[in-house]
Amino acid sequence: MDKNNKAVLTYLRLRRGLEALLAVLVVVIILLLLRSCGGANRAVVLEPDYALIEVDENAVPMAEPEQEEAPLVKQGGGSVTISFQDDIAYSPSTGQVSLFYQNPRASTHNVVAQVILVRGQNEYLLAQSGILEPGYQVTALRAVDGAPTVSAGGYNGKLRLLFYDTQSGERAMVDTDIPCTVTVIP
Amino acid sequence: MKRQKRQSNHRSYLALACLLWTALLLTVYALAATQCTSLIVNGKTIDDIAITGDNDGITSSSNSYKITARTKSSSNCGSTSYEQQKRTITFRNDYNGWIKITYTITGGTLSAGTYCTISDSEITLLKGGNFKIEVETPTQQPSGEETQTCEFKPSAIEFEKLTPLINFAAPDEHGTFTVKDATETSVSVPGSAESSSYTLTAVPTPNNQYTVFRWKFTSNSGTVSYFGIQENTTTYNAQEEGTITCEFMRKGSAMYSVDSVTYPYLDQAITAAGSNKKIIVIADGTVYGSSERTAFTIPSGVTLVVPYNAAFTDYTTLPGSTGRVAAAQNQSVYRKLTVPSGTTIDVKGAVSLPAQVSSNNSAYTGVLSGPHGQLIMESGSEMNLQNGAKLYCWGYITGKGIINALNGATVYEAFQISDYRGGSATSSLADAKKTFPFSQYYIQNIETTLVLNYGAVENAVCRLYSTSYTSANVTLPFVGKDSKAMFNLTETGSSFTKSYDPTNERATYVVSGNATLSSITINAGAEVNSADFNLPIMENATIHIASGTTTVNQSLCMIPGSELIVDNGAEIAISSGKSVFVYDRDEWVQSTAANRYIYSQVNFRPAYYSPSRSAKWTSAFKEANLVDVKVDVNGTINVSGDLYTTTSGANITSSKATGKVKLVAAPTASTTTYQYQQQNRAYANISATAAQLHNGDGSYTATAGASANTTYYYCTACKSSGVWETEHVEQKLYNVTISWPELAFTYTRSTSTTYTWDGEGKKYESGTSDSGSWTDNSKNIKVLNTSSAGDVNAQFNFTAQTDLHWTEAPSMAFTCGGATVTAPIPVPVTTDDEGTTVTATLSGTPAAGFTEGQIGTITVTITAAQGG
Repeated sequence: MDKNNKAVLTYLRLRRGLEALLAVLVVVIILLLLRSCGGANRAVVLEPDYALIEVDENAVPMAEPEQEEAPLVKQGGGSVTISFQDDIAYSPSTGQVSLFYQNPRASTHNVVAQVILVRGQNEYLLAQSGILEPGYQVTALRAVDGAPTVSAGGYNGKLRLLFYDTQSGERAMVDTDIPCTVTVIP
Repeated sequence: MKRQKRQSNHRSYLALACLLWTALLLTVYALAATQCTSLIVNGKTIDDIAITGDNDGITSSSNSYKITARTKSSSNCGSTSYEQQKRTITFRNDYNGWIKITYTITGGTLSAGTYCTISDSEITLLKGGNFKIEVETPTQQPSGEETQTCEFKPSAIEFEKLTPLINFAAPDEHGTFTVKDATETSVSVPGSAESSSYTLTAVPTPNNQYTVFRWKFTSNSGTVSYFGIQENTTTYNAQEEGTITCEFMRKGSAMYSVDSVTYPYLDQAITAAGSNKKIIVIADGTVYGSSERTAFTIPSGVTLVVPYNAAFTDYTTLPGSTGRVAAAQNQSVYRKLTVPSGTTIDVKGAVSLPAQVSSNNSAYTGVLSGPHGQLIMESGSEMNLQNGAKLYCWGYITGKGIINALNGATVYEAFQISDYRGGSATSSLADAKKTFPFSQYYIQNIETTLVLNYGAVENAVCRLYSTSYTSANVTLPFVGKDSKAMFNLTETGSSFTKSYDPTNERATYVVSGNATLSSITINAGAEVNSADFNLPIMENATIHIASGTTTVNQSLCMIPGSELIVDNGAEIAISSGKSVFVYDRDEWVQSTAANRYIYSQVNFRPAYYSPSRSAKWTSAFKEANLVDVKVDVNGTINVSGDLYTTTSGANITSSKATGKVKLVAAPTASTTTYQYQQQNRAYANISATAAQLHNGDGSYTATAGASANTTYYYCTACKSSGVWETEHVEQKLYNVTISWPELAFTYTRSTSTTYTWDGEGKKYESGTSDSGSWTDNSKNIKVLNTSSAGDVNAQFNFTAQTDLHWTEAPSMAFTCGGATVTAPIPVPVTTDDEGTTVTATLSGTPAAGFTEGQIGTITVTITAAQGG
């Protein structure tokens, strides 16, 4: 083998090595990108500025006194009354999230309820209601597409309530977070 | 032939001439009858004095006016009788000023009318004034024709045009007026003038709120008279010296009459009514007060009447009755009085809305007939019935205001029965089947929220007619104190709140504090003691136990459509020996007419009439509304007697998942209850079981077979949709109200031009890049914690996203339990007591030149404190 052949062989080995390294890098980058995309989906929780969401199909009228009425508030202001329980159950097999939340007639705003799982600084949207008008309650929600995969047990979560003007649909300046326990049942 | 024709023509001419002569005579007579004869003084006819009266026998010449009265003769069967005759002539001054007549009179009587003074030789007539002369034949029965002649001799006459000094005083309030005299010259107000007449034009302030009530003239001698009633522009002919002003009233104000004097303001009418008179509403409108007052007190002894007829007929403890007349669609509002938002009426006397009811010996009986008064209580208005006050409501009270009946007050309402079977049928029903004589009744003349506080009484009254008994006036003690009424409040501070929603025709009864539901005795053609029956709860009724314990000492039959709500912390106790039957729709609604339970073979009969309905006689309540009875237990049902559901199960549930059903005694597994089929003249057997409790998934939990002292809990932890279980993990319910103010910022530029948010969107315009500072940069957010989950407190953590361009770090100041804490955000606040209000103020100065944005989202985090 002469010097030229040796050089060619060395070049080819180096090239294969570089190609292999490049391929590994591409794979790693693709994996990172995929992970990044999937993670973003779970870490960002939608909070619309205007409620274009439809009335929740599970919302049912509350049984409450007829004289219960929303107080008069000036434009831009509001008043919401929140009745809730801080234990929430989730059945991955049925996709049903069981909770208890009421938006009494005493409220001036529509409500969108989000059930969020919390892990460190990350938030993972589990379920989101449609519009709950004053005088309506909800006891069951459907888990969102892309909900995090979870196993049976207890999780820290929060019930986030977003308030929207009943006429304009504009989001109010105040919202509410309620730390809660989400029990995942088999 | 020609001669005959001429004779015929002669006869025609003669007939025509006679006709014309007769017409002429009639015309002259008619003219003379109205004009009489003119007064002539010193050769001059005085046209400014109008003379009216009996013309016959009058002659007039210069300085002499003769009137002759002559007895009237009549013949009968050859004999002649004579009738005394009297003749009256009236002289009226039509001159715009004074007239003075120097006179003598012989043979007659001279008497002064209005605006007239008479001395021995002079008559003084003001403008419009009058006097009269009467001449009469002797008073004895005349035996022959007699005459009596009067001679009135005016020797001189003087005229003086009226120009008395009139002062024009500015009105006390709500506007002024302009004045022009007879020469169209303006006169100042306040000011004065001397003119014969004036044109007065009101200038209300503000023009869209006030209008003229009347114009007032006060003579210098103190006599007060009114003119130009509700005329914005009017004329005034001056008669004497005095002062004119204008009185204004609120536009749309109701009008009241006290002793036939009209008032536009309720406080004025109340003052005029003293302590024992009636204030009658005589014109529709709104309750306003003088000087814009909004609080009124109707004193003891005084009644405010919203009438139903022009005679102002009033009824108190019984409504008027048309007698035995079938109900008809003839109801209408005769008079309407509106109590506006922010107005309070304290009643120590009475408020009455009289009306008549029609009664029949079957079907609808005791329902309103014909016109009625209506009182509209607008949202934010209030009527307080004090101790001793009476409210007689046979008409209707509507609107979203509130009536508070305090201890010692009494309210009367119509008791309307819509399926009365008649006296004979009613008496024949009294047997062991426990079927109440009627199941369709309404007590809802008062649609407005009525709060009957402990010690207040409500009586529901029906006027019945029957075949066996001519009439019976049934007074049902509906709400009372301690005992004897259907609903009895049994502790100080308790209340019974009654309201009616005309939209869905639902009557709601909210009980707060301890109460009992007891048996009552009424005479409905036959004496009926409800203790012998299962008292029906109407299909449009919601009984809401908000707090305390309501003890049921009367067996009940809850008709499909009715509701029983028991709030968290409240309890309803079914006494031993008493039964509550909760109907499923399937056991009530019958497709075959003959099998139906309501008189005239229907499944329900709605209320006959409400002035609040758009179609007054068409009910919004439909057969589809006869849904399974809903018993929504979020507190406790304590069953010492029996709680039954009919076979199909009905709907005993817990919407807030906090309900308990405690069976103190072991339940009776099954029983039969009954309804009466009028057409079949037979009882229908209806099977019922110990209560079946309705689970969230539609299934039922049977209580039959349970042992004594078993408690069922509605559990969502056991099953997410909720299930009635004897084992239970109790969940805590939180209730928090958060309120925040409007977003109305003002940005002040250095040029001192102020820009205000225009209400559209969330833009805060600065207009230019000028520097400046925001004003009103603090916001108050209130959090009210009314959680009823035991002693659990909540902690609130505020976080503001500061996407507004602050020039300094914003901070929040909290006020909680009286202490103020200032801290940068976020900051936690713990409420120590249930019901604590937290006030937070967000402060900071936005950056200069900031053009658009929002204050940022403020997140309130509510955390249950551990170990509470």
